[in-house]
Amino acid sequence: MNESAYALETRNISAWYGKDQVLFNVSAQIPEKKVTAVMGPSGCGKTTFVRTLNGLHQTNPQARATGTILLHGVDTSTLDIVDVRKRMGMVFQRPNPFPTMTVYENVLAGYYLTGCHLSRQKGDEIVETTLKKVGLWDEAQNKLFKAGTSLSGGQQQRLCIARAIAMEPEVILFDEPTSALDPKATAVIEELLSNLKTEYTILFVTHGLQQAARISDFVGFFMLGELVELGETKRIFVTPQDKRTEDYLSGKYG
Amino acid sequence: MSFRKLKNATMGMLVAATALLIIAILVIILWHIFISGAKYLNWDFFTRAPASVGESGGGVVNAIIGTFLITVVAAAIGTPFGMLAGIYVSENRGKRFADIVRLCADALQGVPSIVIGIFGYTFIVARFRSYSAIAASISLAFMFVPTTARVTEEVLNLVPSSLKEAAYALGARPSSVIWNVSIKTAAAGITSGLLTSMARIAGETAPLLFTAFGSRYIEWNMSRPMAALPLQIFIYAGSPYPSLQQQAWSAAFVLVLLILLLQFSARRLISRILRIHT
Amino acid sequence: MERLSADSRREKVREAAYKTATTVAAVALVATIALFLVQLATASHASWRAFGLRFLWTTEWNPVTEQFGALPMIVGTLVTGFGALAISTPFALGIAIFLADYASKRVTEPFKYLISLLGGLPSVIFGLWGLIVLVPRIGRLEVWFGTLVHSEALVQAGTTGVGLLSSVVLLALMILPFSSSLILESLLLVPTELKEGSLALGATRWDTIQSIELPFVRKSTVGALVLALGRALGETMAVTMVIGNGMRMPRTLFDPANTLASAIANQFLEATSPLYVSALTELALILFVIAIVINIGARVILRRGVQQR
Repeated sequence: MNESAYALETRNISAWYGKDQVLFNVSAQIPEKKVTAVMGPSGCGKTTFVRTLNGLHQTNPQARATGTILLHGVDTSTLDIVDVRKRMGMVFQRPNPFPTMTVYENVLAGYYLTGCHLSRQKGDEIVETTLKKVGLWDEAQNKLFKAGTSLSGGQQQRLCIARAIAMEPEVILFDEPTSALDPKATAVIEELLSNLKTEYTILFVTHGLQQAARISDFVGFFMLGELVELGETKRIFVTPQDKRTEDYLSGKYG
Repeated sequence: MSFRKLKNATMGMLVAATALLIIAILVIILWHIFISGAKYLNWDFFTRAPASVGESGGGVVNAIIGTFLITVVAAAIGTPFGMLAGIYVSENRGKRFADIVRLCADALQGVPSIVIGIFGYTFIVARFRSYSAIAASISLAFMFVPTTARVTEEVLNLVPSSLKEAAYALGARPSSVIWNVSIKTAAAGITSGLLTSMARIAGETAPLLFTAFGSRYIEWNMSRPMAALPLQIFIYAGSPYPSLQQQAWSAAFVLVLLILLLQFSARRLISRILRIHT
Repeated sequence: MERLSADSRREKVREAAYKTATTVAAVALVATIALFLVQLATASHASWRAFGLRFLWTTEWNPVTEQFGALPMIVGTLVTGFGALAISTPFALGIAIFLADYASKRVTEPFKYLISLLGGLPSVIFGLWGLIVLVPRIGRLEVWFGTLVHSEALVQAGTTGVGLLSSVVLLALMILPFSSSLILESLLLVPTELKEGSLALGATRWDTIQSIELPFVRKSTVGALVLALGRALGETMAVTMVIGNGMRMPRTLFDPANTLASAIANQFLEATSPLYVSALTELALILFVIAIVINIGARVILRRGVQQR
């Protein structure tokens, strides 16, 4: 057991795609039940960083990562990766509900896919509470047994959030979840975050400065595969300590 | 300049003429099959076994049953192997051995059907000293497996990786992701591929010549020689009696209908997945 | 906690089963090629021992004296295969170009469907059509031409009509749907910008086809033609029904002959002596090796054609 006061902590994470190194010794501390935004120009490694946390990079045979990840102080490499993923939900860039499943089944997808058997009653209960948490219950109540893909884009993304939190994770990883949504749907999801952070530790990748400033308590800035600095959002935006952060905030990089 | 324009016009006409000529010939072939085939059809044809030698009348119900049984059993034997191999190739994309498997599947698809027939004879019939429908099914399964493997792989590759990632991120294990996400999402495409492959093996003759052998009687026992439509066409076509040649045309007509039915169902399924994915 | 470990043990078993099953199927598929080789080689052992490599270039195929040489069938296979390819290729290109560049979509779709329909027709049905419709007409042509040039032998051949010529024509028709649809597919992959660029420069449509599109699809067309050749060489039933089962070396296109495939289909059930069976099996072995080599070769060409882009 390593000592760590954080919900999630990484030590010297490096990652490669084929021969290209895309992350360099990233050490980050993610505080519990806060929203931590991960920002930086595109191609800076922020998505890769998030994907190494729950071992999703392993599904790509080209990808490789080294370093230590501590989940509530426990080195995740000592755990079954499947259990790590159950404890870390993930929401992706584009809404990706399972097209073969209904709204109801999509919420419980994690249970189905991991072979957990729920009683009908328990299932109903989880679906209702989770959909309420993501504010989809009123809209989708009558569509529970229609295909998950029949919902609108913003609703689909909230369904995907519901799918993640139905598994009662400790951490939720958001990988630019609003990049495919219109401003209205984006606003709904951003509002949702402030509710979610009372229960979950949230890591939120975004390429929008404004979005990072709006939603996060802490922010980490990535450039060229390095974590330049990580700190309280207010502090970073007002008095950045690194020249590169300052340049980025003043709009010198795209 | 005018030479180029002349050439352009000439070649355009030539190309169109070629196309029309060939299409015309192809239409004639189809016309023969449908007209000659439909002309001699009657109720007996579908309900009775061949008449005894020298008598007229009779039908090919034994061959219809035979084709159905042999094809379905071949597909049942071949589907699991083909699908599993297809899954392997799709899941190990980029690895050297997966490429080799794909290449072998392609090469096996090109193996002439008569070679499959001889293989079936020496491998099964000679060993058990008896012609049998099951030997025919096993031989056809050797044609069914590579096609199924390729179709499965291609359809699985169309499943968006974002869906598989979502499943992995929820803590699903590879076998669960394959079965519950990839296969289920691709189910219509895979079924359509299976139907197309079945349409293909249903019309095969050469693998049956030395395995199923043919029979004059209605036969349900797979361990005995059995009739099949393609065999019946082959035998009747070479016969000197016009009445048997007529039966060959009718059998051809029925076989084409069967194949069209399978292909039509396959197309219907394909259009359904297109609707889901867009 | 105990239940959890039981669950995870069951999960592990399932994962292992899935991994094993897919790997076994993949290995089995590759091993099939070896299985065919071994099986056919063992079954043709007697013929190997009796004739050795001579089998490949002697011309006598005589079941009575039990002398077997495969050259007539090898020649028959090559003549029909390449002959059919030579006849059908210009037509295949013509159809493909017509459908890709000239026809409107309203025409293209039904034509494509018709072509795929014929591509899916069983060989035995082509054989039936060939035997009953095509062969008598080719026979009449041979008689007419024979009387014109005063060739008794040709008139004689024309009375049946079966032989190499009928096989070549029928085969050409049979591989047409296959090769034309493959060529059409690659023609449709030519980027519209390239075509429009050329047209905008004042090139005529044919100029564009000749200097932009055909070079673009050259590799994949060659691959498609090699695949079509592979089909033609191994095509069995249709050829069997119209080639006439001639045992001797064909001297003209009008002679009855045999291909490797048709010899097996025509004679296997009559073969009573073990050596005869073994010799026919060796024909199958030769055919198998040819098919594997051609198909792998074609795939390699096709893959290069794709990578080039």
